[in-house]
Amino acid sequence: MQKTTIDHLSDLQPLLSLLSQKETQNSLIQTLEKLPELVDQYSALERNIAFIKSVLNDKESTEYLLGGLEDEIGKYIPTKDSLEALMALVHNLPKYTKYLSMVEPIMEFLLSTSRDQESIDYLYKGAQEIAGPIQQKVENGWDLIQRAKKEADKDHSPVTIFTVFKLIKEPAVQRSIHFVKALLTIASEPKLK
Amino acid sequence: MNDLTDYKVIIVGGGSAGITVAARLLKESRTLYGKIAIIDPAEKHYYQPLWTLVGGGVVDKKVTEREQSSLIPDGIAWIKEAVEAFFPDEQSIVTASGNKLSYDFLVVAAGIQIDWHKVKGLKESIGKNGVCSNYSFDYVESTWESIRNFDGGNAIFTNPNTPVKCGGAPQKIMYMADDYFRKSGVRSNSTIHFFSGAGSIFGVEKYADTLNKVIERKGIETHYQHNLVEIHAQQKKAVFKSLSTDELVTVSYDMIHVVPPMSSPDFIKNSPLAADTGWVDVDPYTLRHKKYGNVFGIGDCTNLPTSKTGAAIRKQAPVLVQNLLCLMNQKTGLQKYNGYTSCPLVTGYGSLVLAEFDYDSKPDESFPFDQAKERYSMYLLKKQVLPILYWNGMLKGLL
Repeated sequence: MQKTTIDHLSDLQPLLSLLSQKETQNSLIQTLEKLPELVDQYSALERNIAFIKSVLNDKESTEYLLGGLEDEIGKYIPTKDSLEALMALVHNLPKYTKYLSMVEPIMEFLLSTSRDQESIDYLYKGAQEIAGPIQQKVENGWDLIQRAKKEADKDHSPVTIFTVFKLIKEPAVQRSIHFVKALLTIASEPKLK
Repeated sequence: MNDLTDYKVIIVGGGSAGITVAARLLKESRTLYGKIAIIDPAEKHYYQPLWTLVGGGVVDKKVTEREQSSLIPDGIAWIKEAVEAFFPDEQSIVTASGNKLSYDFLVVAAGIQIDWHKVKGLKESIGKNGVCSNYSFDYVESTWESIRNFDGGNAIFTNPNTPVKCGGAPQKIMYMADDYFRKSGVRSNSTIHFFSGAGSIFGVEKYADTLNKVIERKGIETHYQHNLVEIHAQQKKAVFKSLSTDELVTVSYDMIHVVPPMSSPDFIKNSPLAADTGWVDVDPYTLRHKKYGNVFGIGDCTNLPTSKTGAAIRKQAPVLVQNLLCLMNQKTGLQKYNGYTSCPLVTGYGSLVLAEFDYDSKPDESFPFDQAKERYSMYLLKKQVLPILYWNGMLKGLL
């Protein structure tokens, strides 16, 4: 049976009801306002698709692209070993992350200290204060040796038995001899037992 | 960033605790970048633990001072103002200039207030004529002056009956002074007195045993339960009040090192955040305010029943940050602070007892040897290593 005008109108009723809603009208107005922009974007998309189609149809271009990729990717195609290593790495990642998290603050601290001139100056001064007295003692000792060496070089007199006797009477030599004597006595104690 | 009036987290105080918490919050959650503010009017930041060695003439006071601007972490807004009032019900604070700032979470890290005025005559005489104190950057050099120029007589060292920052500092400088007096040849014609408001030399038995031996070895006269109440600078006399009998005792001095009374900052005392004692009322384990769930407290301004030290803050900060983030992100896993604190007790030039203990006054030591023993290595740790760890580790939120 052929539809009457009333039938057509009743078919359109849901649409008319939708169009009568304020929100729908607003949306339609917004859509119409954006239409030129949408058409532009659609045209751009169309152009891009046309370009891709053209490239894909161009056998030489496709071969060139894929060939280049193959050369690049070829170097990185995973072997069985590298895959196993990757699996092991992923498996251990939580453990490594934990270790790295522990190390990270220390690294950051060291980095921060190395950039902090005031801290470096303070550390340097502190190190000098600690090393200063030791360095002084070493320098004094070295100085003593050098002076003694010079004196010895200047003295060309013959060493006689009397010189040795005189030397033995020196308190420092006496102390050393006493020490050596005591050391020999103690060292020989186990033998006496 | 400073133009905002609404922040996710506001930190009151830019001292050790404030900056450490800010740095740690940013490290843990980059989404907080630009959403945290530190409120503090101070332009300078001080590493105060070294002031004992400044007073002892070993360290230049300049190395203890840095520009606050160089320490505020990138991504944190620094509002250079003092806080006037807290409105925790409205989640806001008002600054001295009348600025109203809102927050989702508040961290109170305001430090401790030094009450110079509570000892009559002290404010007028400090830094002059043998009256000195290590408890101020401005006067710390006067301690070295007094020690260096002391040529015999009565040297007095005081410790108040209030909580103080670094509870060991009042006696450390005394041990150094004794060492110096011996070196300069004046110890034989001088007497060293320790007047303390406390009942003993130290609260933890293990370290107290060592310190009592040090006192005996050095021939120091101790007077416990005595609080300094007045200084007559003209007559060089100090008045102490016995806490057990209320009797006043007047003692002549040739030099006196004063540790002033301390209390919670006034703007906290008068706020709804304060406990009866005036300190910020926080849970001793979670550091969360007992009444206002989105408020946390850390360091010297809180009523945490432990010694007020930078080392304590170093252990409190990670707990606070973790708990604040749990709350912010509605996650579980609250952490607990065990009351850890540390006091590197200098017992002379080149010797130190590194006291570390918890809420139960049980030693909680870091090194695998007896830390109650006086050691040169621990002295070096305090003098050379800890300042570097502070500037580059703690304040960066790393260690």
